[in-house]
Amino acid sequence: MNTVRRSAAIALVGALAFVSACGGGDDDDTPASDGGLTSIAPSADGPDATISPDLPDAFAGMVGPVEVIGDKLPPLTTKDFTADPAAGTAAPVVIGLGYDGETVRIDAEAAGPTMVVFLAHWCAHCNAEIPVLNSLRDDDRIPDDVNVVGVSTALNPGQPNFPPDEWLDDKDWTWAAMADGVDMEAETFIAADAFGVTAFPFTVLIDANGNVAARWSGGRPPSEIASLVGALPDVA
Amino acid sequence: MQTLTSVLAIVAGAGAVLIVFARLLAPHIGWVADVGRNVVAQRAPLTLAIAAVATLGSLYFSESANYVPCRLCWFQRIAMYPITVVALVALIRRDLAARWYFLPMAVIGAGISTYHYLIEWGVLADSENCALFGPSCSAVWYREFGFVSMAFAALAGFVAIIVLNTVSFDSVRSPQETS
Repeated sequence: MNTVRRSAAIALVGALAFVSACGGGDDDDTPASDGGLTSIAPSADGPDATISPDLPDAFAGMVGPVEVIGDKLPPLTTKDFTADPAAGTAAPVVIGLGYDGETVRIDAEAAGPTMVVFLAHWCAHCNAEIPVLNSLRDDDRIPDDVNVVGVSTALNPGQPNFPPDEWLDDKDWTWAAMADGVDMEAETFIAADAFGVTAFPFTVLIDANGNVAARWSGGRPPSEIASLVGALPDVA
Repeated sequence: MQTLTSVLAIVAGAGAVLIVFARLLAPHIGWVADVGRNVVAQRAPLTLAIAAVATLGSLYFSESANYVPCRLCWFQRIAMYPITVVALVALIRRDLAARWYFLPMAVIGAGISTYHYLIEWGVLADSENCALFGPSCSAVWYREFGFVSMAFAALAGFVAIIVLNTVSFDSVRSPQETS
């Protein structure tokens, strides 16, 4: 667990340093404030969180405020669903914003069975996974009562497909998409850290009681995803 | 740039294959022996050219095109980059024995490139996901002409360097001499 967090922290620091070194802003001490998600006024149902003023300008508009309610899940270290210590435990409720400023909630107890997909814009496997999910969507193989939420995380302005809002549009991602936030102090991406993300793409199935049904990283065949989603309790 | 480097990789790989065929045919066809002998005589500048193009190409893709190198890409870089330096010094000093320093690196690099290329095609297994902040080795940034990836280009470069520096036409007698 420590290794994972240390790797994430080192990588995040590296990404931030890269942005700073490459001219992320004329003045690195200047808070990110050039529009996008940074200029959206808080709403009643939105996240009770703010974006760090220390964030480099290159991230502005692409990183959102993210609120986490409940305990974080441990990092996923197994491919065996039944061996995942998070299986059956309560998933945290995560509240954030989409790239248009709309509130995006991961709250299966309130909204019903939910599939959360963590995506990194630079990840080739994520780029391959989205068309798979889109094919399931287009073939109506994801039941209507399952909420699908994408989380755009692990941003790196120095890598391909940045900014991620345009990338998701290009990839025809039509479900809700949350802009993950950055905890500058802990040097982590907030929603990803809350769900124990260890690689990308990373999928979490949450049942209608708000408990984790399954987590996995990497791509899976469409039929297997459809089967896992269909096996969620309370899915029609 | 992808197309250019891919074409150069194909030229390097095809050149290596042709040199091997030339060596096999040289005892029977005089002009093939002459051509092979002339080409191999330029092994020092050709080795430098191949290694330098591979080095600059990989730097372009990582630093300008933002194709993030994976773990195996880094191992191949470790093998290829020093060859450029050693080959340059060898060319300046006209040190024909320098090949014994970079040949082991080229052989190791060719092995890694082969392994990487097989992973890219799914013949060998690698991770099915991207690590937290880096690409997996099975992720292919491009596949020019349907088969030329960066791993293939590296493999072609390593093989060309190996062939140029191991195949010799010195002992080949022309058909006239043989008869």
